Order: sequence, then structure tokens, then C-alpha cells
Amino acid sequence: MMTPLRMPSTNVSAHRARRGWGTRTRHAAYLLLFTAATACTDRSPVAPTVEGLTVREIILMASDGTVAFSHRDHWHGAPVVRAGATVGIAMHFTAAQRLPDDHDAPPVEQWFTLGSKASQYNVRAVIEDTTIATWSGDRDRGTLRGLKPGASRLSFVVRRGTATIYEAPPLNFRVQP
Amino acid sequence: MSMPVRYIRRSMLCMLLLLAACEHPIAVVTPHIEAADLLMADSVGALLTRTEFNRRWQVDSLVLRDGEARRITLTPLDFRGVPIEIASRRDLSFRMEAERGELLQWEPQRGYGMLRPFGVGVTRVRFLIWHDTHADFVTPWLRVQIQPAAAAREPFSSVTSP
Repeated sequence: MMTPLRMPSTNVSAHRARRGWGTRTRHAAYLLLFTAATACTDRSPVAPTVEGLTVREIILMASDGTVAFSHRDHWHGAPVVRAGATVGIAMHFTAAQRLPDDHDAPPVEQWFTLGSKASQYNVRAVIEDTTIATWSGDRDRGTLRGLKPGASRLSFVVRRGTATIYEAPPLNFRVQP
Repeated sequence: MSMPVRYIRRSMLCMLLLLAACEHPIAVVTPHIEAADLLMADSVGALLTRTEFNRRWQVDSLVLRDGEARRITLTPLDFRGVPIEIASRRDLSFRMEAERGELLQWEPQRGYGMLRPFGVGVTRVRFLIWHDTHADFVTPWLRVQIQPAAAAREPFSSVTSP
């Protein structure tokens, strides 16, 4: 005995109502919209977060009025000191970072010093060639002393205790005769 | 009254999607720069050198005077030799790597950059088009000679225009 063929219904409304497509589609749309909105606003997992202070840039204000500041991988400006002389340098930091093509100095209102933070935060400054110049100072300011004419590089590292939380790109400087 | 199975399934799917979305947030992805070559010009637009198929520099040496910054303009070219406009791209920047970083400092500005010599000597540099977290383009090494201020002279002869 042959089974009679079941012809598809031509009544679309009845078909949708029976299958529930309208409700499902609506739910799926709501779900997708909600998921997309949530995903777009959540950026936290992209970069690892470090608890506590965030340092993204360093600004050096020299006693002669010149300013040098880091910008991602490079510096704008460079300190100059005469051989046998010193220049005082105050160190400021920012938690924000400018866009790659924005080479202006960070706004002053964003600057802060480590002296205003907990005592566990400190800064280390290292000179590549210590026969040309030396650095001495604390976490707020330092003194660059020129020993003989030449050029070298200065590196700054901000640490929380013994953990490095920020490393500036090497800064070229010159000791003039 | 127990919850229907289909509602449980939907809830689980929803939670799964949310978790996945949190772990892999949707981000704006900007296209890479498909550069084939790079032009290097000075402050008045005169071509100093350029790469050839990004294998070598047409003029393979750059001479600077110690203590005198040189303004450099870099222009990438596509595979047809047409300049690529990147001024409007805020996610791109030119970076420089030097074998002897103590001799040179690269200070990029919008549309150009300053090469600042910090001593007499010879080194090699290469330029990168930096795109957020990676390099889209890296040039071959270019020899840079930094002479004492009094001894330096203009090193470049004519360079074939692109």
C-alpha cells in the first residue's frame, strides 16, 4: 500500500506559525545584537592588565628649560650637557599614550610624578657609556653630569618593587665640549 | 514546573556566545599597507635614494654631519610604483632601526621625520612602516656615515626618479 504524498502547505502564515520561525528569528536577532554590542564595548582582554600604576610615557624637564618626551618607540628631543657641568632633570610620567602619528607633547594635566605614588614605585636610569656621563638621583629627579665630550644613551625603567612596569626607549644625549 | 529544554539550550547558547565575545572582542581591523618600495627625500623634496624591489638601495649610503639633524620624507610605493597615501592613517608610523643606536636618533613627525646624528661613525639603518603591533614593510639596510661637521659634503648624485 502506497503512502500518500504529503504536499507542502501553501499557507505561509500557517506554516510559520506551526514552525515558530517568526519568534525564533526575532530571538536570534536580539541575541546577535546583544552579543555584538557586548563584544564591541569590551576591550579589556586585548592587552594584559597590570595591577596598580600604569606608566605609558615619560617626560623629562631639564633645568635649562628644555623638554624631551618619549612617544611609543622613540623620543622627541634630547638632553644636552656640557663636559664638566650638570643639568637637573625632573621626571614626569603619563598613563595615557598618544596615537602613533600624534607627535605632540602629552598635555601637562596628564603628567604625574612617582613621588606622588606609593613608595614601592621607583625608577632606574642607566647610561650606556659611563665614561661620557653619569646619572644620579631619586625617583622624581636626577642629575646628568657630563664627563667628556661625546654621546651616549640613557635608559629609564620604572619598577614596582623589583618588577618592571615600564621601559622607555633608549634616549640619545650629547655631552658638548 | 520545570523549564523547557529548549529554553535551557537557548540560555546556554547565549552564555556561550557572550563568553566567546568577551574572550575575542570585535575590534576595528585596519588594512595592511601593501608597499613594494620606499622613496627617501630631503626637506626640499629632492630624492636622496630609493629601494629597488625592496632588495637594495639605489644609492646605498647616506652621509650626515655630526650634530646636524636632517629632515627626511619617506614615501611608500605600491607594486605599480604609485605612491601610497598614508597621511590619513592614524594607525601607521615610520620607525627606524639602527645597528648602532647611539649614533642616530629617529624622530618622526607627521609627514616627515628627523634623523639626528649623535656622533661620528658608520652604522646601518632600516625603516619600517609600523602598523599598530607589527611591521607592514621593512626596507633593506642602508649605510649611514656620520662625518665631523666640517668634513661632511653632499653625498648624493642624481637618483632616477620613480
